[in-house]
Amino acid sequence: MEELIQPGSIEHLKATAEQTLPYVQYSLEKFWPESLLTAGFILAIILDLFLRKTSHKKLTGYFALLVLAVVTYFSWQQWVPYDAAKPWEGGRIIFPYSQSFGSGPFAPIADGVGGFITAYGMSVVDNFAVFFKLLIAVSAMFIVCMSLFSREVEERGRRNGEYFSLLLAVTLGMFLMPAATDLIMMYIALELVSITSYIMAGFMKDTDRGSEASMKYVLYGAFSSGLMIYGFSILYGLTGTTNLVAMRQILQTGVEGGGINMIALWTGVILSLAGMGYKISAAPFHFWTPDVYEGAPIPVTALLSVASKAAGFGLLMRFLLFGFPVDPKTALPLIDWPIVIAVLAALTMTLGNFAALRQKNMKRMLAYSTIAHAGYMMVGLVAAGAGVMAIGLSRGASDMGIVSILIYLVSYMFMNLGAFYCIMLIANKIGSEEIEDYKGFAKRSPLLAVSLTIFLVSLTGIPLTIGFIGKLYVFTAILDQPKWIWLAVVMVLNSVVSLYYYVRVMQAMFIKQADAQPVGDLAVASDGSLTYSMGSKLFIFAFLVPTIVFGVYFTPIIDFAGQVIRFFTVR
Amino acid sequence: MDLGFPILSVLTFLPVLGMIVIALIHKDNVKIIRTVTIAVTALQIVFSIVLWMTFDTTLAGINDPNSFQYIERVPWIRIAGLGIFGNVSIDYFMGIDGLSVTMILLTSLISFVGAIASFSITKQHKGYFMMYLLLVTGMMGVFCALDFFLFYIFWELMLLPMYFLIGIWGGPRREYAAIKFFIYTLFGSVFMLLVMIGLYFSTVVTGIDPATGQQISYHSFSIIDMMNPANMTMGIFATIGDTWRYIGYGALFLGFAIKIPRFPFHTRLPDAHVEAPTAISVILAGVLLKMGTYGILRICFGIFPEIAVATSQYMVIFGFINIVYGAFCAMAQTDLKKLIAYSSVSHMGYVLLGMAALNSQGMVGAIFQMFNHGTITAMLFLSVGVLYDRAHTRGLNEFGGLANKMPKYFALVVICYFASLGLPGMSGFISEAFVFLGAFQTWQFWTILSTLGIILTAAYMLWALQRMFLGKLPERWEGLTDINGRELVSLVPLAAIVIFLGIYPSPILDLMTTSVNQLVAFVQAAGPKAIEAATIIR
Repeated sequence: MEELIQPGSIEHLKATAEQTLPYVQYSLEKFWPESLLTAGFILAIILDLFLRKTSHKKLTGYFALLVLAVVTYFSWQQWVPYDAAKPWEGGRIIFPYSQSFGSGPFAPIADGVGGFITAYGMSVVDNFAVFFKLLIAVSAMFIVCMSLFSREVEERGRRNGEYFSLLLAVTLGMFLMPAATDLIMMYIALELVSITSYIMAGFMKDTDRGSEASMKYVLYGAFSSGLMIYGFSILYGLTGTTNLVAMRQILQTGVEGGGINMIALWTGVILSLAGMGYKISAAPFHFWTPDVYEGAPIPVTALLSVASKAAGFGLLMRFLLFGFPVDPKTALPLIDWPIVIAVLAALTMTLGNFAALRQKNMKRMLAYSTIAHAGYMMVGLVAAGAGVMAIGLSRGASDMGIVSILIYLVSYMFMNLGAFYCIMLIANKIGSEEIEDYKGFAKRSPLLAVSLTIFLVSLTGIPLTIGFIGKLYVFTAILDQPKWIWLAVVMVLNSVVSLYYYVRVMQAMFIKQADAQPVGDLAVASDGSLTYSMGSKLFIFAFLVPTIVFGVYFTPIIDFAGQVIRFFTVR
Repeated sequence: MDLGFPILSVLTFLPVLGMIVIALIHKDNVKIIRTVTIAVTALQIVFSIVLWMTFDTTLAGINDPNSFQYIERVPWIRIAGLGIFGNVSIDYFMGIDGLSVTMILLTSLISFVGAIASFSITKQHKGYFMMYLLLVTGMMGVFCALDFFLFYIFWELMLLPMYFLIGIWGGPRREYAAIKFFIYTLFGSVFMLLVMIGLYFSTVVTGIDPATGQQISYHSFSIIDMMNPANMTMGIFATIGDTWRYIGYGALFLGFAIKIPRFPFHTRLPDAHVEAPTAISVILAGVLLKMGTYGILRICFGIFPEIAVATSQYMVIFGFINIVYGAFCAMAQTDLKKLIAYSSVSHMGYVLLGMAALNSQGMVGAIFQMFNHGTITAMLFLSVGVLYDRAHTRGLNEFGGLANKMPKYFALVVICYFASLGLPGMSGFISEAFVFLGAFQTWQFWTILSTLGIILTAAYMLWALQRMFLGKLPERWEGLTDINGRELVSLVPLAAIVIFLGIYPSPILDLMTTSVNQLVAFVQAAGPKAIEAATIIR
């Protein structure tokens, strides 16, 4: 008679370890970028110990740049180009790799008693996640460069090491957010980003508005993530799993058996959306945005508005598109989340734009403008959802919806970072972000004035800039479904409203006459003109060239974003 | 027709080249900057004369891709299938027919005149002329583009330079006028964008993929493809006479109506025209207003012919309102520039009236009126500029007895005022006669009412003339000098054209007749279908 191995005994543990070892190895191989970021984060702290008393404080920044460049390379290695013969290839590697997947990409594995084994893993490496990783890594690199030019950061030189190591930590969190396929992982990633951002937002703790920013951010963040974890717990209670893929399957069977408490499910989803809505600053969870954006150093504001928002969108899309099945009887989604998102989108962009109209501070204005842009991107999400509903019909619409958000995020990265960079350079010299102080700026630094104009025009979405391409694709996605045309109309009207406040900045710079005593406390020439270093001038072109080139010839972006989506098609 | 070089691209992008050259010149070399601008616009005139000479008037264009001339078609954006969305294809597609060649002639003429008038600019010359040339590119491109996407890009390209041209170099209320202009036109064009995307989804073209030789279906932005009802097979605009097509037509019409400007969207116009510097008023009135009516002819009529027929009675009413309301407003003005701005509103009403007639005479009259209004209003604004540069006021009642003081100026002003009120022997008479001739056949009641406009125009024009030039000269204007050589160079050619076309209009009429007939036949053919479809819906 064969000897039974007692569960929990040393032999059992040993056997389990032997079984799982290859999976662990496999998983770690897929975890290179994140591992490197973690190592970089720790090394940056150690490096800072040696540098903080010396005059090479900026060295940590260069180190962070190096780490991010290497991480970008390794992320790029994970990209799987589209292959028509194996269209799912870009989307099936699951971390930790602990199961075989049966016949299809996500085939369920029964545990023999009617339930499912929920070991689908915490996080995935697919083209969708890799796309976001690349986007986040590239914007993080831009942010590091911006920080190196920033006066606000430079003035607090002793804490530069802290700043750049935190930047690496927040990047790590943002890498995990769009890749997470498990509610626990989602929460951890989101919190990692949030807590690090609280500290970064309060980097200028010596100023009043810096501390205020951090404090407000903490309060709103804690509240939102509390709501979210409560929502997650309800979802767990309903399905008995925290894994999104398993949750989807269980809900599917549950619907077929008619045993889902819809009220509880709705509550869970709405509460979860609160946490994610806060990350992308969608109304009505947007209240922290203007104050935090105003108080944080400009590079951090740029980071929050671009990278953090992108990661939030990745998380939101993963949650909504992966987690919820379609009711087979009615062919409608189990949870009609597109309508929720549509209402939120309309509310978000309208509120953002109308609030921006009244702002006098450039950073506050851009804060509200980023809220509006989140609304535009949510329109793409509605299109994605509406397509998911129509299973059995074409999948084109949902693909287009997802792709349109990805395209918008790319365009948004270039133009918004560009705008923030210009504002930062201006603030470096004149020490102010009030639109009032921009009067006559075109004469003081024509290059900056023209560049900022181009970025603002792009944010409005006028052709021959990348912003138009982003908007075009969102419109394209939503207009394919006559049901949502009203949302497209709301969106175009909002673009017109947004023009007004963007134009006001141009008006101040080009049309209004400068005051007799031009504002500025540093290096102002007698005629009021401002001088900038060659490096900081050249760096504008890193944003300006893509903004215009991709505005004229946008095939590369569309092709690239298009490859992300193929695996959704074969799900 | 092939000239051996892409003449339309040259015409369109020559100003961009000039802009780059100016960018390299130091900002204090005002003379060189002006010379470059004049040279570029003069070259444009040369090229458009070449175009005019070599244009084959027997080819119709409109909806037949084979009879467009000087076609340039280069693939621009090609994206392999994203699922059902098929193959995205946007072309750099340019070509002209009788409708556009007239407008191109007008554009190059007015751009040149505007460049001469720009000499009176006193500050930031470099920026001004760069913006000016960019604006010219946008205008030219709109009239050359046959791909809706390209059309839209050129259409929007004009917004930003126009904003700055009015905003920086304009009059006292320039900030308000500039932003009003910007927001109004963007408001119109965003709806155009939505309809454009909707049309794009509805248009499915079947063709051969040059790479593989297989037959493929793709969505197309080409305006000509959109005109072919056989291509309209998918999406919301597929059903002839459907409500969605009414909405699409209305949204496009809104975009163009703001540009015209049709009542009640005309309020931006007096502000923009009054505050803009002379040269920009000339461009605004001379070319930009025509883009609205050109867009209606090319796109609204071309793509939604059955809706155009079904709604033409509303168009004629709007035409009537524009004519009479504009004329009454003009009569009430004491600012000369405002008077001319409102007279533009009134005169563009004739264009609407002629188009709504939906017959050859009316349409020919409408297009010829577009051309004539371009030249005449340009003259009117230039003449105001002449006076304003000297007197620094435009108040009608502040002048009097200028006829003796400035005799040469008086002679030219008389020509343009009489041309504007449609005196026989001037070009304005021919076009208005055609418009009424055409419109009377279709809409007798409204046409008769609209003739009121002629009397009103005569009234406000002559009254203005009387107040300014006759009577006693106030003492403060003793020092006024007569018109100078540069101003003559910009005004006299226009006056010559106005008189020449008044006596012998064939050179312009011949250019467009074939195309107009084709357009009328195309729209008329779609009419019965629409009425049929409409009865089915009801």
